[in-house]
Amino acid sequence: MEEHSKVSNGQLKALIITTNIGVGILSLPSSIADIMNNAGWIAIILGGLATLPFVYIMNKLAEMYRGRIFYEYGKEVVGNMLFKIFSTIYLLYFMVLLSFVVRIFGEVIKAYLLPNTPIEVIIFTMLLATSYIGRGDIKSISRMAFLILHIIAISTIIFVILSLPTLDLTNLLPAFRFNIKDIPEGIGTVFFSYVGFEIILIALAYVEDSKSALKSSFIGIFYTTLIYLVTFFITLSQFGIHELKKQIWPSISIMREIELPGFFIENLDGIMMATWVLIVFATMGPLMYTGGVVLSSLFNTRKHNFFVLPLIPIVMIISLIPESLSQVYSTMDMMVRYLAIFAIIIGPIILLIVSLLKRRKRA
Amino acid sequence: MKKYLIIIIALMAVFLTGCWDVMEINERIFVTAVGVDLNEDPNIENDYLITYVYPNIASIKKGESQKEAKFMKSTVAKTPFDGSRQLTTRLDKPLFFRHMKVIVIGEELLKEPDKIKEFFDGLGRDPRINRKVEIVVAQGKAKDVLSTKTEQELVVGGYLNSMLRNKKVASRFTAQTFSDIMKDLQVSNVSMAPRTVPKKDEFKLSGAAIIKDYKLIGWLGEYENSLVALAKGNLTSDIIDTYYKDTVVSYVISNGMCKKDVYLDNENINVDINIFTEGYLQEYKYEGDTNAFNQEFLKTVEKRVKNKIEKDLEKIIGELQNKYNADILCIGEHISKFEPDLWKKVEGDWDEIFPTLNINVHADVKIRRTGLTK
Repeated sequence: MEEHSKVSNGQLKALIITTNIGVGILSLPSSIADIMNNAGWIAIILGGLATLPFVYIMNKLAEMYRGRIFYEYGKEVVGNMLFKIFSTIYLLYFMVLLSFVVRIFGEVIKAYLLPNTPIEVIIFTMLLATSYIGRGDIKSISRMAFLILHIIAISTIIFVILSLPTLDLTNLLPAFRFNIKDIPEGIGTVFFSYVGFEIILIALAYVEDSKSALKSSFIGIFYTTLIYLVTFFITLSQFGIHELKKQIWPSISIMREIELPGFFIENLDGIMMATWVLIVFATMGPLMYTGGVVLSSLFNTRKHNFFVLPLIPIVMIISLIPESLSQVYSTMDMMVRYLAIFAIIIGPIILLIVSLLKRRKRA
Repeated sequence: MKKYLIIIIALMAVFLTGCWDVMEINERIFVTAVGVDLNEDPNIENDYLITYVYPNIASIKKGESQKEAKFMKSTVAKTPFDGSRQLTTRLDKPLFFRHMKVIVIGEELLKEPDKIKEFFDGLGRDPRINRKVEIVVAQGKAKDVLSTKTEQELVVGGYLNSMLRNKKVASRFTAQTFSDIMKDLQVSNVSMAPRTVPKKDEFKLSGAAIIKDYKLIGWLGEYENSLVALAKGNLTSDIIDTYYKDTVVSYVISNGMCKKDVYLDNENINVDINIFTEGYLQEYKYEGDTNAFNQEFLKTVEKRVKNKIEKDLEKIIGELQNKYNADILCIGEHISKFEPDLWKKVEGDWDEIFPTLNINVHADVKIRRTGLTK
């Protein structure tokens, strides 16, 4: 591997954070408040911890097959035919996830910014824009992630500062009361807000300093958790628990609660939306790229970029299947979850077990 | 050939793109205030009478002040949101609600909880309406409030809005935004909104309407409102009169704080409302021998103000407990946050428990300054 096509540690962290944070952050505070009430922050922390074993497994695999991506060495581990089935499921997962993300993106944009534009147009233009970055290589994607990460960081800080004057911190109380039975469901909900980090199945093959890759991945997850926690605390203390549960996208609605002193700027949601478009872009770009890579490994081609454009119409059709927003959040969300269980949990674990057994046999 | 193709494509990209949702600023009507009333005309079936107020942009230009500064349109509609659609038959431009400042709700409408629920739900759903819109309750008709001609500011919406924001002077009313009211109603089922009283050529903003279960159940006067604000801890400034040797003494509260304390004894729930105020002396009698600069005088006045606050507030609380059964002071919310175990027990029948609460008011009054003279 040539030196210039490597991913630095900082870029790896950025890649994990930006692919993790996408459309989930908009609805996470209210969906977690629905289950855990004021103690939702516990579920966010536990959900973050729950992803760590799988990050570790992915790193372990990358260590065993250094310099190669998951979709290549998988063929070697479980056999070509079986892994073709695996890859197909992975492809399905990425396409459904992309459709889910782009549909919610379209719905949010339509609700807040462009009420008259047909949602098809919003979805199509967004897919076109992201396919540009999806056609690039992992290096350019991680560079983009690194750039956008700073925008996310700055906008989170601005978001916190702006909302400070109107916060009512007593709304956080009682913060420690929850039902033990609710915790598994809470973790389940939070866990799927972290999907996207499976980009490291590819990125780890190109990482510059593979020794500290695991540490960087953990730090990436840690920052994601931190951003989710801040969002949860701010939305909760701003809305109060009852109103928070009623909101579909509390993280954007909150911008409408905020008033700047002097009130010469109102309705700050427009500014927040602009940053959020970038965040979604940074989620969808890597997903597009991965979709292309999975296809190219399925068809044994050297390049992935000509597979990216044909993905657009398929993703667009899938994204337009749900009839309403509530169906997106029930049916489509369920599909994403089941596929994600395979893609993040089952797939890597099977590969790890099989390769460990093979290694033992050899020894 | 290829070159030309590229040029054509480049030009197409420049000239054929455009904003899909383009809407010029001068093609919009910026509604500043909306009044919602119950329709009382028996000849028309619809339920709501909606009044929209918007500025006449043309009259803002210099030298054209003789023109009417604002327009007002009223319509009768089945739901509050039908109104703006109906008005498209009478207006050349669409109404735009993003900069709406105030919603005035008529007294009669607020007596119908189902209609108010519909209306509030619509307000919360609509992404074009700012959640920070101020809610005001008219004692009478909202239309009458909005049709008053105001002197300083030309448009009633802006006038009302600057009145509501002018909280530094007195707490005769407490401004409440839509999101404040919704939060209150969901937490404790009770909320307040400032009251306006339409008069002949003006309107007065004073006191508050008590809303329970999305229904108007009573009014609070000016003085009551400032005491309630004191007990809720959001009083900014107000004046309290007492006497000293037959002379009226005015005490200005410049800083008020309130702490609630809930404890159980013998199955009774006790609530201590500890009020702490700081302030200065506004006036006393000017005579050769009067001297406000001694401890004895200050202590007496402090004690009298303290007694007055305690007595009056206890009276109001008694009324709230027995007459209205309305937990305006958010005692329920306080218990749910700080005593969650207790709240679990009383949550279900809070309405029966609230009147039986043992509420004690303790005031701590400090006169920090006496002005420039002794």
